[in-house]
Amino acid sequence: MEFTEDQILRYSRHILLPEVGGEGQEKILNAKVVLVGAGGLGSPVGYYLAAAGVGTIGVIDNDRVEMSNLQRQIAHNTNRVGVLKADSAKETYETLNHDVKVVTHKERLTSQNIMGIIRDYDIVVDGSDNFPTRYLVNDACVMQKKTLVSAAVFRFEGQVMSIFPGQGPCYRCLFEVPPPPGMVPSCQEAGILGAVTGVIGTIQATEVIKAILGIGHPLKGKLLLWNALDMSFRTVKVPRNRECPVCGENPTIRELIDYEQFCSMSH
Amino acid sequence: MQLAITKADLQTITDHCMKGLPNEACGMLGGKDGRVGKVYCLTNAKPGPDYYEMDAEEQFRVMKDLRGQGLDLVGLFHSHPTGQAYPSSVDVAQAYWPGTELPNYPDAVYVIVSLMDRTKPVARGFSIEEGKVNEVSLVVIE
Amino acid sequence: MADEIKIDRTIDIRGQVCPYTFVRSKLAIEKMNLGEVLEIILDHKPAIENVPKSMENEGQKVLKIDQTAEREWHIFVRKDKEKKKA
Repeated sequence: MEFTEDQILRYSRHILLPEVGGEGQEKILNAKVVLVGAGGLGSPVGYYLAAAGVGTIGVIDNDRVEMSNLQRQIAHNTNRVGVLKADSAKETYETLNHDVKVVTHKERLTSQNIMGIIRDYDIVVDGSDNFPTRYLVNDACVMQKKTLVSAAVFRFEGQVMSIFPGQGPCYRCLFEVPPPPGMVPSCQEAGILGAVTGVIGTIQATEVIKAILGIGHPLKGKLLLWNALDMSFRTVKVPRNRECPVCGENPTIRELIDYEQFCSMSH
Repeated sequence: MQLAITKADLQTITDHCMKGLPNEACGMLGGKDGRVGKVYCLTNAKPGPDYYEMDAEEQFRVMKDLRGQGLDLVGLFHSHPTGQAYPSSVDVAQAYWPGTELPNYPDAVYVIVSLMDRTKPVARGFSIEEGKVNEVSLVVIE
Repeated sequence: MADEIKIDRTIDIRGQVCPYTFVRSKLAIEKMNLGEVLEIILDHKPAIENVPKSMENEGQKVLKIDQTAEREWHIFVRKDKEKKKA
């Protein structure tokens, strides 16, 4: 590929890396990644993917920017309160990098629309941080064999895992069914340190870029845990469940499930 | 399925968990036929407010002691200083998985003590196997 | 002189400074085949040390560095290493 003068300048720091080069940058420019949610986690993921030059970034979100989001959802700003988050993210990312095309999907993800939406992308990033969506995205990605980088944050903690269907465990290998309502904390009630979403979201972005380039060791079969208070980073092995209902040898889940929302989707 | 435990033993567990704050505390439970007979308070080898690992040496000594006393390993306990009394993703990932090199405690009941309310610790029991979490009632006796 | 070395491609990047001297050199050599030789014409003194070092760091072979004028250098690099195709 022939880079323009602007691209040579813009991506120079990538091109310099032995693991990237012009060839790697070309892969990044040709990649198509979709973000589930343009909120706390989605914001930094999208920002760094746009900076890196991911050519097509899909954003699935049908919420509007609210004041309470701005403590952490850095793709948005004060002037955009009331604007649809997907549109706000599009403006932010395309302004940072003109090579990036943001495709907005201004709808709520359900079993009816998810397959059609993710089909056009190579990699899916889950920043939704709520259980029904997590399972929906997991199952859809396993069924379509899409790489999925999934994360969750809570108060001062975060965790990230990369799912490569067929090669490693999926989310259901770990938690076959969603925990009962009230048994798991929700961000809304518990609070979240803004910068924690920044760190975790950026880690998700690095996992995406590593997957695009095929470099380094992905968090495949590994759950990365971070606690901001004691600054511990730990990795826990996640075994692949041969009897996993969706990615196992004899899958029992063949259709997508819309679990009931037991808390608000805002995060 | 249920796990019976005396009030005194439950207090021992809770005290050990409170002492471990702000980090997670852990231990093992010996007994027979679904009833806790002996509580072993272990050291958290990798302490964190959201993480624990039982010291391998200590685990070995506990298993030896159980054998000597003719007891089975009926459960494992740990605390969640700021979380609910429910297995976290880490708890599930590190519980019994057949065919992996993880510790071999297939029938153990995982007792989790939530210290979200320091004045009212909550303990619940669970069976965790390969991604399946089922609650096991803790029956406090005597 | 340089006529012993068979040159397959030349890039004239006089006027460029670090790190763009290496960036452009790297982009050029990426498109070449193994065994081919790239001639790089520069006029930025720091680059004369940096570019050969970076090239060798990536497994390429620096055959020769010629200074042809007070502020003009020619570096000859042979492509010895290619990135594995994914």
